[in-house]
Amino acid sequence: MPKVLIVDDEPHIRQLLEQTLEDLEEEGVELLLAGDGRTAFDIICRDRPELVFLDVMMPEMSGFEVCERVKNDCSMKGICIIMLTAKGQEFDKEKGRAAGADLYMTKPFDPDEVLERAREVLGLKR
Amino acid sequence: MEKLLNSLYQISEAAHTAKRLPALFEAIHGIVNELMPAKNLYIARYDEKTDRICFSYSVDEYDTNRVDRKPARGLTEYVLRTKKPLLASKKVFAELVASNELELMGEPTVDWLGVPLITKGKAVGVLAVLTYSESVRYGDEEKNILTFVSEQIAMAIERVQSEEELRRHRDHLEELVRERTEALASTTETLKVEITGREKAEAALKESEQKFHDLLNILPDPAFIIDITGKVIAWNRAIEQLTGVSAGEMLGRGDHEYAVPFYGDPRPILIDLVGQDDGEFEKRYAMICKDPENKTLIGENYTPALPGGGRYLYATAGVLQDAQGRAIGAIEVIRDISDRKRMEEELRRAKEYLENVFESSADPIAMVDTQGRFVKWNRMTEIFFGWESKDLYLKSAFELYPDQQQLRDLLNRLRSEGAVRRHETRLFRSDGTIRPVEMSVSLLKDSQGKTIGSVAVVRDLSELKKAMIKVQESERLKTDFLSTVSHELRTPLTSVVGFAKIIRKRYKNILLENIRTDSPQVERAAKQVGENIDIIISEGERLTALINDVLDIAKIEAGRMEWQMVPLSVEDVVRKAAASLTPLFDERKGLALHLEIEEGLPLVQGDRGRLIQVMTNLFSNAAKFTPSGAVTCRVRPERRSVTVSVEDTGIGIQEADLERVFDKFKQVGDTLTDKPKGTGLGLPICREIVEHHGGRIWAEGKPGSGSIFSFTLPSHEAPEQIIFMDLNAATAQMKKWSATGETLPLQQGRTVFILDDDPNIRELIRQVLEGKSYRVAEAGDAKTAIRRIKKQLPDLIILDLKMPDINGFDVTAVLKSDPGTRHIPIIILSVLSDRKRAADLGVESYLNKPLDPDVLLAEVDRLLVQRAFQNNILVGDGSNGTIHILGDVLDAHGYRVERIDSTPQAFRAAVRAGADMIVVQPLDQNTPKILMRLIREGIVAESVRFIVLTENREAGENRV
Repeated sequence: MPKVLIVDDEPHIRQLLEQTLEDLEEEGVELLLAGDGRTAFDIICRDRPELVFLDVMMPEMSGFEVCERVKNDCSMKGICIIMLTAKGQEFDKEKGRAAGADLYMTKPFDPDEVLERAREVLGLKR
Repeated sequence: MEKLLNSLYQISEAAHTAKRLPALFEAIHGIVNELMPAKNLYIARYDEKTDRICFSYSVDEYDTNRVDRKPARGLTEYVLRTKKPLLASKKVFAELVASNELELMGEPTVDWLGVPLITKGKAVGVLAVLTYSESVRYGDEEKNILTFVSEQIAMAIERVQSEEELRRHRDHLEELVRERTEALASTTETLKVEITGREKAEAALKESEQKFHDLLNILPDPAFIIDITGKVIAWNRAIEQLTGVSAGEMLGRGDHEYAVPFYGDPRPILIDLVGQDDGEFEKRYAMICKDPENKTLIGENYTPALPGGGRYLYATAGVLQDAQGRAIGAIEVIRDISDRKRMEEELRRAKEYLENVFESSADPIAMVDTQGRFVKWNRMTEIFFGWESKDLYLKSAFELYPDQQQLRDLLNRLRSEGAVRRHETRLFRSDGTIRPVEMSVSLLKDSQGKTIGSVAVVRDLSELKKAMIKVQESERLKTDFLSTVSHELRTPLTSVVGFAKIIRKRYKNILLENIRTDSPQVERAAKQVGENIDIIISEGERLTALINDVLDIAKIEAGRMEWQMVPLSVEDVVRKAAASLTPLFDERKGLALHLEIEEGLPLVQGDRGRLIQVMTNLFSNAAKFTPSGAVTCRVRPERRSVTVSVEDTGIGIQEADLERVFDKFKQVGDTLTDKPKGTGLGLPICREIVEHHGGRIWAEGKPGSGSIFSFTLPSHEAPEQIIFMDLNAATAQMKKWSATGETLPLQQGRTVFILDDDPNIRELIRQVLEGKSYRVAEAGDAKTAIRRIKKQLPDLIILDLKMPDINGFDVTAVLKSDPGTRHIPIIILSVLSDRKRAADLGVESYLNKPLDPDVLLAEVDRLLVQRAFQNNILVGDGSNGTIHILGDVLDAHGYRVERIDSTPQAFRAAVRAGADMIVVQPLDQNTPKILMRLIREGIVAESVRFIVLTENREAGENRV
């Protein structure tokens, strides 16, 4: 069963992403949740999700760090990471690219677009 | 400097107090002696009338007998003649004697330093100081000082001299009077004998008075005489003019009435003191002194009652005696010194004023001498540098510079320009800390134009720098703040908008269908809920847009926007923006978007994303304010720019608002009735972006008739290497080049390879060629040479025939058989002569040793220039006839023409094969871009020219 991990320290945003992506559950996708970077990294190592929606600014371990660690691990670098940030700075985009993120989305995001991206990554057709 | 200024003041004082020249000279000697050791000093004066040099003052250890003389050939005469200061050491003196400028007169000195005394442009004398001892020497400093004070001395001498003259004048007059009085006395005697009776005596007296009067009238200075009873017996013309009182009115009056015109009331004046010598005048009257020699009184006073206002008068008064030496009256001669007084007063005031300015300046001001030592400074200087007055005096200002190179630069500039304004530098303070300052420095010159030091005004920049850092800090804080705020806003907005969208989806897809519509109340509520959610979403999106815009503006203003400038096509930008906005423009909605894009647009240098943002903004603005109609976007090339304009048929703009629309948060129109429809930041952002590109944005239009928003972007200058011209122009240009043999630009910097086993020959050729800005590479043996030539591909090869390892002909054969190197011309340099074999091998030139550098250079020039016109490679697309015509024309003019494909690969191959000029028939609009990329990536050398053929309009019309 394909897995999608949602990482954000804001419970509301986690809830929003969960509800946005819950349509996928009917198509057999399992949604995982994490509220900080360290937990996220542990879940990624353990559950090997296909896709991670990753917030940037989080306590303990930032999204960039999580991303970098995942992408530096040969067994995990195939995992698709979509960075979500509230800071629309070019600088952050650059940092995201350097950390190896696959995609970069700015908050506030459009739920439909998020769903669309997830479907693409998971290879699901509407 | 203070000492020097003070001495000027002293000299001026001496001129006033010294009544006679000897006294003045003594005073001057004393003043000079304070400025420098001046044991031996003389003042010579030249009298034009008698043509004599007169040594008016001389104090000398050895030369005690300086006698007046006709101008001869001494140092004094030399200075008089040249009107320039002279510092004659023994050496200088010997040189001047040797060059027959002068001869030794008087005792030989160690140093002789003389300055001319110049008044009204005439050298009237010389002041000289002398030293006979090696322990006292004069240098430039003494020369400068003496020169500096010489003008003041000359003025002082002139003043005292003129006063002396005045006195002489008066003495002379007295003499005359005495003679006449004697004559009168004898006449009286005679008369006594001949006539008795009082009437006759009175008549005689009258006659004598008349004579006094006549006598006095010849005097140019105002003067009058009183008799022993105090009655005026003479009142001359000059005094009539000065007082406005005629002789007729004044003669015969007594009781001090002659004082009335001067003081307004009768009172005793100078003349009344004559003959009442109790030796106390000088004590009683500060302004009166007595000349001990001829017993005349001298006074200076302000006389308030004269017509035309008060004047300062200088007067001398003396006794008139008859032949028996009896006093018969007194005379007073007056000179008006008001002008001089006023000038002195002004000078004093100006000096005071300057002192005040100097002292009260908030900036340090300091004067230094020619050696950079502090001589005068104001209080701020002491405060700023933290030095006390005693530490600063004669301290070297040069030591305050942490950066001596900067100091040298400053001094050089100062020397060449005389003044340096706003020189930014750093200076040490007394505690070793360094302060940033801005200085303005000027040279100080004396009246002869000699530099005597410089004055600097220093401005402390440390506060300014601190303020700048503060400003930068607050700018950074502002940006950080905005970025934080936007983050804090975005996070909740994400929830608000995101959940709202999910709610809308579920509401519309799931709930709405399941709502029973039997109750109108439920139906209405359901409808309203749907609408309300839409409002939440659209307002949320508006808020998001606002945050984005605020962030953009903040970033641009803080200079934090990261621009990705690349050459790009404006057309692409416009089409991309239009495509993203198709939902806005829909013919069915009654709003159409027309694009009118002209051809031949040059590329611009720009940030694609930002320019699309500008276009999107302008398009959506146009759509926003145009309820129905059309929006037209026109793009046209200008001479050095591209202009884009977006015209709508909407509500238009008031003329007064045309500028304001680009201001932040200014949406024009009535804020009460016109609900704002955007963030109010779109146009300001557009303006920032356009201006960052070096362009301009503006609005036009009238209310009711739509508006036009336009902007220009400067075209991306094609490198000089790419020349756009049409076929006719290209043909004409090439004919001209081949006819004149004129070289293309950037022919310099070509590389010549030298192969010779003799290092001396290589060095000789290198020097000859480098002198003409050729680059030179070399090798001493054939194997290395071949390897390097194949790698470096020089533009020309010079080789020796006879070498230890491989023969020069063999090298030639190798190079000429290799396709990579066969095009490189070869000059063979040899003592042997085998021209035929060389020619067979394809050698371009053959020169005999010994080498003639001029011949070699001419040959190198010829081969390289010739080659420049032999390797034009023509690029054609095959389907167009015109380029073939050009090929034929070039063939006919002796160019070597090759035809290749119009692809990047083919261009590269052509360049490798040594093409100097590539004529390109552009396949499409990308061709110039491809060429530019080749140049940018360094694949094409700087010397290669591309000629890009543009459409030939004439030819086109002819075809039709």
